[in-house]
Amino acid sequence: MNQIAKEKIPIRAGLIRVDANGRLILLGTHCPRCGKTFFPKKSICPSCFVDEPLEVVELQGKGKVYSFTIIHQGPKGFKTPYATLYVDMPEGVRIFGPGFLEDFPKGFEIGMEVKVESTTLDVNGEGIPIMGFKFIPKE
Amino acid sequence: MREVYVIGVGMTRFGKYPDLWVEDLGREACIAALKDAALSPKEIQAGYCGTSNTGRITGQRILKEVGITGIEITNVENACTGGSTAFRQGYIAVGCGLYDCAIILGVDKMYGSGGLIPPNLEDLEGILGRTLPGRYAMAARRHMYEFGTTLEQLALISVKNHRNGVLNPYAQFQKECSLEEVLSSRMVAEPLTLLQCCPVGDGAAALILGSKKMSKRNPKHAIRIGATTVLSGEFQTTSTDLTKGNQVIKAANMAYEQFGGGPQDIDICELHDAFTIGELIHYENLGFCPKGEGGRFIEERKSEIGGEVAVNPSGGLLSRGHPLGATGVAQFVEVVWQLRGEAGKRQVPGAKVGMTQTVGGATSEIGPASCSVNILYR
Repeated sequence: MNQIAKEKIPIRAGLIRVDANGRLILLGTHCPRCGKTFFPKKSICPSCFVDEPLEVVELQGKGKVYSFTIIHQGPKGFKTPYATLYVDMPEGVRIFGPGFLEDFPKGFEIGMEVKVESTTLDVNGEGIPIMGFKFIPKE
Repeated sequence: MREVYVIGVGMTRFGKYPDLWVEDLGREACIAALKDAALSPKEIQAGYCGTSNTGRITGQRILKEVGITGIEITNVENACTGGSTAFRQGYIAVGCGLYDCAIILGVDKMYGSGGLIPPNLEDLEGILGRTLPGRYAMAARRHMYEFGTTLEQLALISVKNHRNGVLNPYAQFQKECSLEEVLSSRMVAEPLTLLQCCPVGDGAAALILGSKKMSKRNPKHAIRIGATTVLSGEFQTTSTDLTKGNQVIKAANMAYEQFGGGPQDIDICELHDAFTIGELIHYENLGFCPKGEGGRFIEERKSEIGGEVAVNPSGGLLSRGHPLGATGVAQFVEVVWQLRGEAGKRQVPGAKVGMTQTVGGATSEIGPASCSVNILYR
């Protein structure tokens, strides 16, 4: 039987990249006028609305939990229970992402330090592997 | 803007109606509103229909069944704020003198859609596993962390709204539940249990708006519109403060200014309690209590019928139910009944000023995509 390796599709073009060590990096944009950083990336700064290209910046991918929940009734493609988190990044963005219970043996807490890591998502349970990201404890 | 009045109201009982079409539900609400206004369908000059889940041209499909055809009809999709937005459109049309009489319709069928409202696939947070109960749950967790709000305080909102729903023959749920039952019901998104989440259901509600001239046909029946607002969410990459609704606060301030009053003037308020934490935060957003004190406000029974402001005397979304596009219109129906003194066992004694508030469409970067705050009075 032919085993066709399914190529993972990035969750959205230009949102993430994987470096030579296999590490996932979140890509944002930075407005040189107002100094704000955006994630996901913007083609134009929604604050200044000046038609100048924004700089693509790589986020450090580490931050502190602003809030979280453990979801017991989830959408297709997500095995419950799983967590979702809002994480405050040092670049000044609050980023949403999932966290899986097996990665957090000590549980979740507001203020705890987490980092992003790549994960495969099955959006809507359609069997198409999507390369996305999740949060895991920093240490 | 000239004066605009609500001159007729009607709605179906909300519930699960697998055997009824959208047209059946909408027709029932429209006929009730027309009868209540003692108007012929031929006197209606424009129609506005709020809906999210019922396919295209819903307004025309329903209004032709009650003899309202050949006029301007607009369909409005604005998530949970669809019905309130349809109302705002009708208010503008009658208020600016374009028409003397318009019908506002809200209708939706949610039953069979699986319980969770699916995200737009373009919405990054949605793809990454955000659910609406999950977003509210994160707001609850943060509110508990910052202000010491308790699980019991959240659950008390569900207890109150279910108690009110028992008194409302139009409510989907007409059954009381105890604090223990709320807290021990199935977990949906921690800390929100099933009885802290609005049910899935179907239904329709309708209003007739009229100019002052139209209101004089039955002046005791007519309820004056004091303020209307619809606002979109504001871009907020860096400061998605889940413990407050910036746009709801802004819309409330606009509404108080239009009306020429403040939170202390509101006798009853039908607000967006899709989840218990929503109602608690809206106490603060609408100025009924200071920031962070929503938990104490419910605990001290200030939002009960007979309290400082009767919040969700209909039972709210938690008990009356939440067919998206119908909700905003049903809130107006309840407020009109209350201000006329026609609310039966759930009547708030002497109610003179009523507010409605909806918020909806959680979206990455702008939070709730739409919200609406409105004031009616007699």
